[in-house]
Amino acid sequence: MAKNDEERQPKTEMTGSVKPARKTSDPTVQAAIGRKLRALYDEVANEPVPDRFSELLKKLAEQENQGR
Amino acid sequence: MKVSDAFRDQLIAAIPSLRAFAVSLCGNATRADDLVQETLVKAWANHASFEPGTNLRAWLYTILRNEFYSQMRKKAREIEDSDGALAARLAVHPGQQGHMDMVDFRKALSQLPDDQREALVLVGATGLSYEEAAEVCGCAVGTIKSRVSRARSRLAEVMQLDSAEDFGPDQATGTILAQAGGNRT
Repeated sequence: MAKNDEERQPKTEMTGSVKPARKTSDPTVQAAIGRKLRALYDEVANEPVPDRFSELLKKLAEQENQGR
Repeated sequence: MKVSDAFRDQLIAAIPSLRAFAVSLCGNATRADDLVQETLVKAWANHASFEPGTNLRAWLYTILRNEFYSQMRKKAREIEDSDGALAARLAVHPGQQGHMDMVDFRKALSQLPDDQREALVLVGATGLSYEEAAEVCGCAVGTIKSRVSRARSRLAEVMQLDSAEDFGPDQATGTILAQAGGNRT
């Protein structure tokens, strides 16, 4: 199945009867995908870290100290 | 062995990218933070199995990913028809606007198969190499490359379908109808 997956070209069921205007490997389109991808990722990565995580790590350290 | 301060500091430093990766996997901020929490707990408990000098973020992504899929498998038993629902959503036109904005992009990304989306995010957004991404996903480098390529093709299709709408017959008909309506009054 994995092999089949790798060999199969992307299906165009999304486009249906619409004929593809340009190749999906179009560098402009691919560059735009890369930018949007990083923008989405950075949007979350640049958020301030919620307090729950520093509290969690503090708790984990305390548990460790008590346990040994 | 006690968790070293250095390890703890590295964990803390990795939290932002863990959160971003988690959101890209599950598409839900609350659930993403729960995944990150589980990941930190597991990383803390298993810190001895981390090999110093290797990529800590990749190691953490692996833990997070495993946690995500084990939760998914539990859910899959509850919701049998998730594939059918996804297919139905894929049939919907991706955007009402002429250009593909971030909302559309986010939607298109979320509609990718999980294995393709995670490969694309790992390679295209987290800065991991193909080799590191392959380790995170537990598959061959070639498999990662093919998943990334299929994900990119799929997103490009959606984006082009979207830009085609600007000039498509529906748009033209709509314009003519609007003009006809304008003439009437």
